[in-house]
Amino acid sequence: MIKYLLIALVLIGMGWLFLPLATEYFTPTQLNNLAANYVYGSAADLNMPNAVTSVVVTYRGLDTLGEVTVLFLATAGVGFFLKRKNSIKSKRRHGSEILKSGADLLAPLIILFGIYIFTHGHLTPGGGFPGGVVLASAFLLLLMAQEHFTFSHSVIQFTESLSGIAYVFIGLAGLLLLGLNHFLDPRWLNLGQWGKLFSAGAVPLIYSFIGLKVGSEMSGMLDSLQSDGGDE
Amino acid sequence: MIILIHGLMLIIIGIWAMLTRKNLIRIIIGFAIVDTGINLVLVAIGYIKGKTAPIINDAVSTAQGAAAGMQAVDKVVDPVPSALVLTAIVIGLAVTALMLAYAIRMHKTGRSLNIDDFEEQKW
Amino acid sequence: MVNPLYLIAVFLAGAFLVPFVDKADRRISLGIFYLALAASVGLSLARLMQADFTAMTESQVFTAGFGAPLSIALGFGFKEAILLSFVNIMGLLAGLYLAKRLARESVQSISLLLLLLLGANGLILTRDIFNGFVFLEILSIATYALIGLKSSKNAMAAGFKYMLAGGLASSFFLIGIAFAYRYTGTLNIDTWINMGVLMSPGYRIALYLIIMAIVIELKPFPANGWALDVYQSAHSGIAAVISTINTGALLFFFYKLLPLLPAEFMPLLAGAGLISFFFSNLVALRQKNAGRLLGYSSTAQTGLIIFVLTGLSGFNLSQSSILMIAAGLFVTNFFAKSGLFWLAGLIKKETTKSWSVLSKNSLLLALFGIFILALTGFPPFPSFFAKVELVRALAGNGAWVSLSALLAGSLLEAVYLLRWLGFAVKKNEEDALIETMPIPKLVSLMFGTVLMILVSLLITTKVYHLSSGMMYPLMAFLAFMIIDFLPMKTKGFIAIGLIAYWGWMFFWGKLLGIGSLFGIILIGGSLVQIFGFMHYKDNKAGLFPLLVMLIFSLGNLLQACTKLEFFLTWEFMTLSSYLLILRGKHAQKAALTYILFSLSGAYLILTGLVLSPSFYHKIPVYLLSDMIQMGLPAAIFLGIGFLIKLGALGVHIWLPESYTEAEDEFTSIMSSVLSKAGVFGLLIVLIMAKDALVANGLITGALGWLGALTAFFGALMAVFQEDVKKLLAYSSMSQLGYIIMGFALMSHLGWVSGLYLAFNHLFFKALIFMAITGVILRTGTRNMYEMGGLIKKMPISFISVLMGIIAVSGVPPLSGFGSKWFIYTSLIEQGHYFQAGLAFFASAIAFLYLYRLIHTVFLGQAKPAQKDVKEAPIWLIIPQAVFIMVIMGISMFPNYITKPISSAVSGFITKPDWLSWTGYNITLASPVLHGNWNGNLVMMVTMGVFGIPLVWLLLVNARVQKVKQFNIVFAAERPDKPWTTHFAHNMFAHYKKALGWLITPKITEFWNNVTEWTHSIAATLSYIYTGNGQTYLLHIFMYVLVIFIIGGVR
Repeated sequence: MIKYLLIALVLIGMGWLFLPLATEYFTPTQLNNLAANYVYGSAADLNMPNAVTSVVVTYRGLDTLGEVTVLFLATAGVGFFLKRKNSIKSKRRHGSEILKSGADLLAPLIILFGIYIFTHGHLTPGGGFPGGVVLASAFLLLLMAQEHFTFSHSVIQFTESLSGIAYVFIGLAGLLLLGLNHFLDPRWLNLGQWGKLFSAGAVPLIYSFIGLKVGSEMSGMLDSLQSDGGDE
Repeated sequence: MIILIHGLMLIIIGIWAMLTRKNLIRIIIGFAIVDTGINLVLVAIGYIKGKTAPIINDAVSTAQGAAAGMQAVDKVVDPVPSALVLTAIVIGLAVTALMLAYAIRMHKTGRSLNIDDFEEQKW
Repeated sequence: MVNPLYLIAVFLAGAFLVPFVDKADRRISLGIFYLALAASVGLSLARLMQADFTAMTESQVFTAGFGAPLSIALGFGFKEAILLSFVNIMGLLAGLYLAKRLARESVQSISLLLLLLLGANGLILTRDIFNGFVFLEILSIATYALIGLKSSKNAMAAGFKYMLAGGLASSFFLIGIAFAYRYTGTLNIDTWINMGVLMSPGYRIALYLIIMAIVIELKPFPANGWALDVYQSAHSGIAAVISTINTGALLFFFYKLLPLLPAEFMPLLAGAGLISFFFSNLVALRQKNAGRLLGYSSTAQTGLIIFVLTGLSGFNLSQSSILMIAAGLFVTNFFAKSGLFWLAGLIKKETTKSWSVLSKNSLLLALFGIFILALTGFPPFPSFFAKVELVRALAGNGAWVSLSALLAGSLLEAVYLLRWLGFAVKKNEEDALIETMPIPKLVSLMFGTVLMILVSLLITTKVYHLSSGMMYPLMAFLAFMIIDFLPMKTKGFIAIGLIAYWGWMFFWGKLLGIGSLFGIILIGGSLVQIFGFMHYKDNKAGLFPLLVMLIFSLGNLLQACTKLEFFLTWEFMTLSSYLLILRGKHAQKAALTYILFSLSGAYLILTGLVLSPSFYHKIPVYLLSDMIQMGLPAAIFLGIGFLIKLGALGVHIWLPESYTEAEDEFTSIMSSVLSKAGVFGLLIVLIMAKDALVANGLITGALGWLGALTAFFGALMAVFQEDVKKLLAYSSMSQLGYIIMGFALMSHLGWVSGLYLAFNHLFFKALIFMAITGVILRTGTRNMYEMGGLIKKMPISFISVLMGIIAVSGVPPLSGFGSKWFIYTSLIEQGHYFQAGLAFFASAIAFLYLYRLIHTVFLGQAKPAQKDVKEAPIWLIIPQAVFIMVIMGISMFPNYITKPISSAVSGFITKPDWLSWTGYNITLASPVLHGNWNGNLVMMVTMGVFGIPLVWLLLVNARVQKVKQFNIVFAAERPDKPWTTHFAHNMFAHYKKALGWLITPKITEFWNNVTEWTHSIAATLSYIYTGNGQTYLLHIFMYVLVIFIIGGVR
């Protein structure tokens, strides 16, 4: 009983703690200095229409590298936990006929769509992460639809590792070609023409590798979770 | 503003779930709710009255390069929280996935999903 | 400049590459793993080499080719380079420790470990708060996953609780960042610092959430149940990583964020840190599980570092000295804690008691000892200096509450750590030898230890500039450790030669006044007794290194000039004597009591030193009398500290037990020499606070009474002991009481009498103890009723004891008479009639126990079991012979010693005209008292008076005595308990009836109650750790809210 009282007190307390955050809030009418610099710089320095992408991939690129790492960690962690000694494959249910045919039809399209999303990350909303997730959803669909569908683990791991390493090396390329402060600077490649696919330096390249990496990681994680889902 | 308050409320609801639910999966769901709440708060913070997404398309500016940037500054919302929220989502996803993996293994080793059954170490 | 991004790239590339190449061969992936670790060590060391050591230059690197607020900046200056070197070296060692495990575990574990290091490196390097969040998550998630290295149910449960707590902390952090960005419009820490503190409540809440998130990650009491579970159940290699690498990175991140906070936050955080330190140590008292105990210790240390970083900011202390304190604590904990976790993994024993397996493996035991002593804060480890500086800062600024919490917490910490050490040295026959010792684990352990010692020595010499002379005790210890394989006798002669040479070079003729007196006592007294240790045939490992260290530190007390040197030497002395006591077969408990009292004394001494005016650099402490006069508070702290060392009544609890349980030869040194260090200290205090004490008068009056009561009760307790060593121990206590009494008079004659007795006590107590050592060696018992009639078997020992007790009892003709005579006259001369009466009464009681000593051991009927007993070995006889000669000498010619004493004392209190030392004659002609003592004459007369009956007795004794049928010495014995009817058992039962009420152990009871209460409070507190993950979450919320409300953050 005391515990519930304490929980109630904690909830009220947290609400009370958050209160000034809400009451002091007002919707601003103008960008702050930093954000304005980002929006302007995205177009002016990086030749990239998508300011969010320029923040994600370039200005705060180290965060994104970390983010990819976190995802890799999660995959590795889940794999480490769940794949330990089970060679026994749990039984999967049959997919219905509709699901099967639908999957056969949709999967290539979904994959194509995913690739489109991550290659155009610097131009349109989206980018490597949503693209990668879309890719993985195609695999999830196949996984659900077909009883005997399995990924080749080597292929997944190959893609995952190589795209990760490629990302790191693209970052280092900036460092080596442009100087001390240029890790993850995409401008060692030509900035290209405004609004074109091959523009904004190495950004499309980076986002492609991110997309591939996220796609393979998510697929790998799904695989780990599903193959260990049932009871032993 | 409304999104912000909703976000904060979601956080508190998530906390409630984490503190009161006994089932590991539900606790994880509680955590996920907190996470979503935080993401909402982040998005809300970047919002600027009457502005559009920070992607320069024809609606923002038809110019190119630096000129487009100059015009865009007055027309778009803050891109930073959007970037942060992307990272936050991925991290939240990673933590949730790992929590679920933990739950699966706990179920295997402890034969239970009730958090009260995992109290052997204390004092 | 080494680009920090290479560090990040190395870890990332390694982690991404490893799963890929693992398809080919595990050896390749392990190769890449170690290559990456080695590269990270190389990179951080390379940066350290570049760093300009005089100016701690900040150097930053940006990413993506843009400047600071736009892009993410990494700072890679001197501090970062040092910390990263430590972290990455630890990463390499941890990787090595886990080598076997990683070779058979799935490949992800290798990536996870690399990424954990990436997280730690990034957290240390980054100057961007959100980037910090990302690296924090990398660090945390890698840790969560690695806890799964052990798949037991408990490890899983602990990991899940950890994830919940960590998830919560990062939620707080993220909310904080979001709003902080809203208020400041930046994420870069430096730009943010330059903006200053905003006043809006919302902003403060955002900051509060950010900093509390880090505090929670640092596992503060009481919101740390989850962390303790992790320490308890995780794989030892991972627990070591968490307590070193994770904590280090988080603490540094915490430190980076501090400039952002408003000043009002600092006391809150400092309080939280100190509470965590004190209570974690308190709760740990009751802990029996080794892993969990280490967890408590870890959280305590982290709490202390938080306190140092935040609590000292208000004082007038430079940023670098605060960092130095924190670094000292951190580095010690860093290596010692990892070492302890690794040891735990090696010996695989859960409860601390079962660590007695170590007693069979001297290498591991030595390592364990080093770690424990380092954590406890003994020199030369950095934590010692950090604590000294910390006490200086706190006491110097009058922060008494913090200081008490710090010292009390440190003492609690010492209790459980040293108790554990006691368990480890205790020999237990059932324990099996540790057979499997994986080489990689051992390599990590050894390498970590060597590194810790090197860092310690580096800090000691480079930062605190201690002269090499002050390090002699340590060097002597190490040198004798190296030659420890030699036979006992060889080592003994080397030790005697070395100490004699050292004394000749540095002391002979170089000491002045009381320094020369104590030089003879401390160095000369111990030198003679080294012979006593040489009778052992089998090699006593570790004995000589410790003994030599002790003697060197005793001598260094006279060389020490600065406060730090004095305290360092004092601690060396405490440490070596503690370890020597611990060598006794059943001495674990006694040694623990000893060290706890000694440590409390040391803390008081340290506080007193801080309060006293500063000493001079080149002048030994004992010579400072005229130049330094300290106030009463300093004198009281110091005085109590030294009285503990002396074993004055009330704080004497440690004395009888440790005297009894220490090895017999060492007891002799403890009683005769070591106690004089306390005498020395007390005298120094009285000299340096003379003006204040004389003006006050009350304190010295109380001190006099304390001395009188110590003398009285010591004697009374001695009467009723069955154990011969305990009897002598109480006798020592009583004698020290007389010395205190003499000193308390603050008069010339009083100090002379105290010092004279100090000399005499050295000679006769060493004499008796050496003789009794021989007796115990031959008879194998300490109970006097089990001995008897040894006069014929051990005649030389008998003569020694006889001489000794004549000297102790203070009857003419031996020197003891002189010392007692001095005391009484000086007491009466000052008008302290009651004290004199009590002292006289105590001397009368002394006759009882001395009679018992000689009668029950040497006279009476011999025991059948001891019919083959031989005389003591020659090595024990040598010191006895020396001391007998000395006693005879100073009895005949007392002025040879009283004159130098008097002239030494007159440097501080001038000799009154009515006192004169001429020839063999000591003359007093004070207005209240007249007296005259001619030692030589008394000696001659007494020898004449006693010589004749002795000859007659010898003649009579030579005749055979027939034993009649009715000799009932052995009649009516109870076969089951024969001793109960022996006359020597409970010998003074009739006195006990009369005086027994005086010796009911009220004081022991008091201290026992203190112990018991502390333990039960600890037990009660530990019940907050229910083991339930949700309760722990609740704790975290309540912790955050309570501090929020107390601090009035809104």
